[in-house]
Amino acid sequence: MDFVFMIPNTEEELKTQLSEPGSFLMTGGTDLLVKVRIGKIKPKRVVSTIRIPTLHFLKDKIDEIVIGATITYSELMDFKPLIKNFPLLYDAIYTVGSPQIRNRGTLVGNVVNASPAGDGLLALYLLNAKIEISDGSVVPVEEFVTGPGQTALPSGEYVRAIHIPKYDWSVHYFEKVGQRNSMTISIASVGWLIRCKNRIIDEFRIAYGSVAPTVLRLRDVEEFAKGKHIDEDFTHSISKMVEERVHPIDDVRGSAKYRKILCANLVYRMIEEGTKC
Amino acid sequence: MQGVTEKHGYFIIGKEVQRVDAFQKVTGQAKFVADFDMKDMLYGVLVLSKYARARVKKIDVSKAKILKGVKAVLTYKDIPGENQLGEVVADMPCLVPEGEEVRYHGDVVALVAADTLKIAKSAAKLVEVEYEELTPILTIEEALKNEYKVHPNGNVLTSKRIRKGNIEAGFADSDVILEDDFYAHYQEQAYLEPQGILATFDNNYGITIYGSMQCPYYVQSAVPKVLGIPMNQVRVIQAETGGAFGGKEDVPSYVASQCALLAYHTKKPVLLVYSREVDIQTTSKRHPIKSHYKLGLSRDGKLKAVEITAHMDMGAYATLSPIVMYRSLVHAASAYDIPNVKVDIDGVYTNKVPCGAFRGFGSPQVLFAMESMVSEAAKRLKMDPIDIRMKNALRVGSRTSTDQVLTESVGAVKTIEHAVKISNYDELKRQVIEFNEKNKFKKRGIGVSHIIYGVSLGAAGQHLDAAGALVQVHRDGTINVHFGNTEMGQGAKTVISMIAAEALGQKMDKIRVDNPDTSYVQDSGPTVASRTTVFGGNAVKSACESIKSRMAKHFAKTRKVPIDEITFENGTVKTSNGEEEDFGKLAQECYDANVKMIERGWFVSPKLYWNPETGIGEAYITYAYATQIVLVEVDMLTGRTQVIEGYTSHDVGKKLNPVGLVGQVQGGFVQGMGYGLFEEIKTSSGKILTDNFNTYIIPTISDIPKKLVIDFVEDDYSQGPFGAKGIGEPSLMPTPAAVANAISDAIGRRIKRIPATQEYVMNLIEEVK
Ligand SMILES: Cc1cc2nc3c(=O)[nH]c(=O)nc-3n(C[C@H](O)[C@H](O)[C@H](O)COP(=O)(O)OP(=O)(O)OC[C@H]3O[C@@H](n4cnc5c(N)ncnc54)[C@H](O)[C@@H]3O)c2cc1C
Repeated sequence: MDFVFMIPNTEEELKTQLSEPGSFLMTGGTDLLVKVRIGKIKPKRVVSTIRIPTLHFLKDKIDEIVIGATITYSELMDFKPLIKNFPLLYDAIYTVGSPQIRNRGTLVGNVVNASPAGDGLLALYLLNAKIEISDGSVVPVEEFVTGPGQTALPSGEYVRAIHIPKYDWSVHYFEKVGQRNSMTISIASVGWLIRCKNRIIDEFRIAYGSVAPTVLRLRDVEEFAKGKHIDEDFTHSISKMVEERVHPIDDVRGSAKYRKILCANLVYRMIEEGTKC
Repeated sequence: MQGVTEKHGYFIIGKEVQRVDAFQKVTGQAKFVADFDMKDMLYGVLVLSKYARARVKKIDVSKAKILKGVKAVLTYKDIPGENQLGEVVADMPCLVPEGEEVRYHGDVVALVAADTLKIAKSAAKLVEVEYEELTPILTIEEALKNEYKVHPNGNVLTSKRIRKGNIEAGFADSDVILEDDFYAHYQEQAYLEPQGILATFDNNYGITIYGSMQCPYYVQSAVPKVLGIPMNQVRVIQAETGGAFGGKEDVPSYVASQCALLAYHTKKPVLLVYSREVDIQTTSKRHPIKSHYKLGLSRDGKLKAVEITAHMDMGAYATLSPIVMYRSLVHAASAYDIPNVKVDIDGVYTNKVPCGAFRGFGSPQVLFAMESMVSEAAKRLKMDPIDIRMKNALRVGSRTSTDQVLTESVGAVKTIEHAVKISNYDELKRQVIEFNEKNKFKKRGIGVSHIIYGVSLGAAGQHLDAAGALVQVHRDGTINVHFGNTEMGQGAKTVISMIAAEALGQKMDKIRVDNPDTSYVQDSGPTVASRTTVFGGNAVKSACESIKSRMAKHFAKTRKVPIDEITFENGTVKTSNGEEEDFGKLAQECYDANVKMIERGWFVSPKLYWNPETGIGEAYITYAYATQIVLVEVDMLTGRTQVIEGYTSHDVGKKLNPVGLVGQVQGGFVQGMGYGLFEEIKTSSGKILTDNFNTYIIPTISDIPKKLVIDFVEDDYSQGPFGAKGIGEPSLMPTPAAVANAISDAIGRRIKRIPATQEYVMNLIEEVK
């Protein structure tokens, strides 16, 4: 478990230090250090981003907010425009770990960790967030994440920020089904965003976590929902569609069968939530 | 106590006091064994079996030995004494020999000591073990076939039974008969501090062992056997212990034997601290128990007969299973007056983690089953679950399931009455009906349980049931109390300080309770079975009273006052005529007059009659009782349960330390709730997958109920210090059963397995659809 730990002060230093083979980036370390402890990764050096001022920022623009790479969950939750414009993201990150974990962990870490169970990640999928990379490119999160633990991040590069476009939604919902109320990794999670009037759907997005190799947006379900009236029949049909489209696996937290039941059942929450429009 | 006036009011007993070890623990000054550091200290690491069952063909340590910084790599060949461990049955090798079988994934094949932990770990990986894989026994059913044997004498180690009354006649006499099967799974103790021992070698004492442990005297018997040295060369001192829950009853004897072997061979101090993963993989758990229950009742709800067969999964070694089984046996029919009782329990070997001691010792599993049956019977008879319990509850003069006549301190009925009152039971029921009418996807339910709990070791453990103390009053009036039982977070030092303060009439802050050291106090038995306050407390009390009466004699003589008019209270010695002295000044005077100011105390269990053939007799010296009512909400879409309210009433004999009591009940409730809901050991080919707190799920602060009302019934026990009985374990016992009954009530299907995980509950809900 021996490695060199470096704390660069500028992005230039960061880039140089990162170019050494066997180097790993660390922000909060709440994913990285767990993997180091169990021997899943064996870094030669660990390069921390946390002292770089140019990565520590929050911007509230007219059409988007921009979250710098070293902004912790706790900082993000204190950022007023977040609750106002993205209550779904707020709800999702509120379920991450514990206060201690949220004081260290970051949304960027959650994205690069690319776990299908990532709670922040699920919200970003729904919000059509974009990832800004140090080479100047900006990539939709769904393209950035390529598989479990895998991303399209070119070697030697790092994530600078996350951009989330603003958009008005009538209803937002996030739910994580874990094994207890906090400090829990999801067995299955779901989120949806609805734009509607008099319970008629104008626009709909839905995503599931922990039931596929990556977070799963169900585009055909989203298409199907357009123009529909939110009632029992509607949720029933959505539930059926979901059940056919998720392909979860068994793991130590729950069986594939249970996960499938959860995915189908969680949709019924819409009956109560739908009344909000 | 002779000479000095017996007071009726107490100045410290029953009062709210600060925990004596709180400050050190909160500020981090308390040192746990992993914090110890000594000159030239080495680090120990285990080499564990890779299979559930395999023959060890060859162990090659040559590569490990030549690694720089490695000081010892030991195998069975290096054991100078007996290579056999086991508190009850010596069936467990300290290090598995070549030619013999490893019997579970945690068996130890070799030990390494090195200058650093990192080197020790690398060396452990270099130990080459050649195995011949064998078919493992992974279930109770496979074990009972006896096709493969975990140990040569067969897979059933022992069987225990109760035969009370006439079971056939009891069922013939019943109007309603119910039968069902239940399963209670493993539970991991999940103490915060993992197992750890520091063994030092020195020329004066031989070996001194410091460690996290409940039972220093077990360690002191085990280590000399393995090292082949006499007992007076091994001294055991308990270090601060960060939780134990039974998991540090006998296990530290094994850890200490491993560590002492390394110290013995290297002649250096060795620190052996288990990682969480090694700890969970190798150390004993609560036993899985499969049971079949048959209950007979009259139409009006009187229990006529109960017939129980149960099998305990002991895992690969017996550890404490035979005595755990004894407790399962006695508690299997719970807290009721039943004329006809038949119980059969078998302890079965499998190639899995050995099971042993855990808060409750084999009883929460059977109490869950019995309490489920009683609630089911109530439902069948259209009775309220409270009424059926009241009808069958034990009272003074009742006979327990082992036909023991209860003569005093039976607060059972009062706990039922109190639980009903504090929960506002009728209103609670009304609210649940109202809630369920309004909600489709969330359903609420109420669960009731009523339990009995035998205090201390009982008839089967009488040979261990004594405890000692050594009390010394110094010339400045401060006091050292040595006793033979341990503080492991439960508050033993605080209650012992209170007892010493009350018995001596000195202020509590003048008293220091020292960690047990086997060279001061005679073997006081284990710190288990909710016995410490009663046994250690009585021993300390009697030593204090002897010293006090000598001080009183001196005071009477020098002040020329009658001895029976002297009182000692809160640091002041007084007579009715206004003569007064400070406790410390009087101590100084006593020293100047050569008065003996040190004393031993020794408390022995009242003797119990017991017939192991019939399971009839006085099973325990006394019993604690409890009644619990819980309110749960089940999410019908996910199967998740939230306990939202809990009401629990406990008969404790006498409240000595009211703050400590509440702490015990809160902790017991939460640990019992975790067992009832989501603590689950998952295995694959006998290997534990849930080997850390990422996957082994224990409750967090956000899982505990918003409302937990705790109540105590005081019904003095004449043999207890100031009338007290135990609370450590009874605090947990009612909860798994109450939670399971509440879920059953909410979903309309009977919970037959704990933990009632969300997945299990979801499956039950789906079955109805
Ligand atoms: C106890 C505990 C509870 C947890 N609970 C949850 C939970 O409920 N929900 C959940 O989703 N997650 C949870 N996690 C996982 C973790 O906290 C989150 O994924 C968190 O967002 C990771 O952020 P971090 O800053 O700590 O990442 P780090 O560990 O620092 O990094 C994660 C990965 O991202 C890379 N990385 C870091 N910064 C950059 C960068 N700027 N550019 C490119 N790559 C980078 C690292 O190399 C690493 O591969 C939990 C973890 C723990 C230990």
